[in-house]
Amino acid sequence: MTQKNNYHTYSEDDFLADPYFQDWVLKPNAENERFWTSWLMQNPSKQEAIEQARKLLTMLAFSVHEPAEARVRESLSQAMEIIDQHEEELSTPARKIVLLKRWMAVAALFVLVAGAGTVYYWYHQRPAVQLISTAFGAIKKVTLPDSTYIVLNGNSTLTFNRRWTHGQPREVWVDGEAYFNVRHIDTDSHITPGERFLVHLKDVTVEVLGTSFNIRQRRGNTEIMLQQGKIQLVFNDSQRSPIIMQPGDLVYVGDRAEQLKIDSTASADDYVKWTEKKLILNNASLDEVIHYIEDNYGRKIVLGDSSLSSRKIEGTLLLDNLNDILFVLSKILNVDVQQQDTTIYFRPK
Amino acid sequence: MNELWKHVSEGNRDAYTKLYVEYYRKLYNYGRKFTDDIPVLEDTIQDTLISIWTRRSQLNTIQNPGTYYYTAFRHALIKKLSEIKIHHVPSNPQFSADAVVMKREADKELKDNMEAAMRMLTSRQREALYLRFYEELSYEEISQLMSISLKATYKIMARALAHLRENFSGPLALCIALKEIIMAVSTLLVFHL
Repeated sequence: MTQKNNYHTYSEDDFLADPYFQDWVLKPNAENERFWTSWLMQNPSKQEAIEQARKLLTMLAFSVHEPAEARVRESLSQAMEIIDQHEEELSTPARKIVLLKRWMAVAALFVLVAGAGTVYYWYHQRPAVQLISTAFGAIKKVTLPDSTYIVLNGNSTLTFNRRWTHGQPREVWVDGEAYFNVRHIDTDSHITPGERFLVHLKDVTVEVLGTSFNIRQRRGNTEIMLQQGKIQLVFNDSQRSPIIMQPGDLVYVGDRAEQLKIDSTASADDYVKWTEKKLILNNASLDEVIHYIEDNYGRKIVLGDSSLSSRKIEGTLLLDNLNDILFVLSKILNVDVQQQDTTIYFRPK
Repeated sequence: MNELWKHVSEGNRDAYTKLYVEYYRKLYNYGRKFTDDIPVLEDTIQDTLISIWTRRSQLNTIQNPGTYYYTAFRHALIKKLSEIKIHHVPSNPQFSADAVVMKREADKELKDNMEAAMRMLTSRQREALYLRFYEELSYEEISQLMSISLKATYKIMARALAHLRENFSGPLALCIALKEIIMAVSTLLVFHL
């Protein structure tokens, strides 16, 4: 708050609203005290106005509402429970959460009765390996102990060790589809064991160095797409020599390993748009789209007319829920969509 | 107080506990002026305080965490309260008419008049007075908290205080005295007729 130079023009209302004046009246200190007392002496005509303003401000009061102490304590312990559960959930599979909550409730009761020794014992009982899996159509975002960020697509599994030892390579196992954004630890060109990040797939291990890439392992085939950084693929079949990938590269590991190049990195971004719930289709055949839906949503799609399978689709498909996707497809292809249990039939109109 | 925020940002649960208790009381007092629906109030307070912990890593980037979380709380509370519709009309949460009062030592008549005047202030005027003179926030902090421009903050404050001043000065007291005299005289006249 700074003083103004035109206080001599001030009315009582002006003083009332002035922050520096307010501070002096309600929170006097050596500095503002000095200013105002000397100013008053030099401007005695303003004494009345200042006196009235001061009187009003000092008479202002406010109703005070206090919560009961017990309520505050209760809220605090509830909050701590919620926080603990939240931090637990970050590395716990959805299916196991119900069990874990009940277990935690029992453990908490036990701790109250028995004391510190029990807490120590309980901590050591926690399992070391974490398994995270997604149901059909679900997407899970996982942050690993090293801050590596993973988005797990539907019908997929991610496994890793809960506690990572410093100096040992970071390792995860993937089945299905996952997008990785690996935290870059390496600071120089010399790579120590602790700076390595390994992703184990069925027949290949991806060795990573601070990058973002997409792994798609479906129907016995593996597709790895590198968005940024550098990765090395090491094949379980020792006859095949490792491949080093560059951004924009898409490697198809099937019966024969092939390296395909995508022309621009914009396409690489399109490839991983599923993480934002969008499927970008660039001249994609209906077959590809159907396979994607079957793999991620767990349905079987039957085409009433085989000529449909070669139809090409261009555009962006929003992946919010299966019914919306089917509706859009029915409009684009001009087909009737019927669902019977887990089978979906596309019949031309 | 800044020390406490710093420790919380570093993940110190002890510091968080202290912060929790202190801010629970402050937010309760503030939020209670907007509603007497205690469950909604307590829920919103708890949500806000929990988010301080879950987002503690970004605390370092926030200039004034106290005002930042007051703002988040105010926004969340008003949003929740606005969702309650009466006859399909969304309600507009008001800052309590009884929030601003006169100190008890004030002359009774003056107190009554002033409190009547205080009840005539707008919701935003009462809130601005509370934030400035009870919470002792700066004009800048108030403008951030209430999501209004600094100029608007000055205007609201000036109008509120001017309105109170009108009712505070001598003339009103004189009017009341005169009124009483007139009433007394007329009563006298009636009895004598």
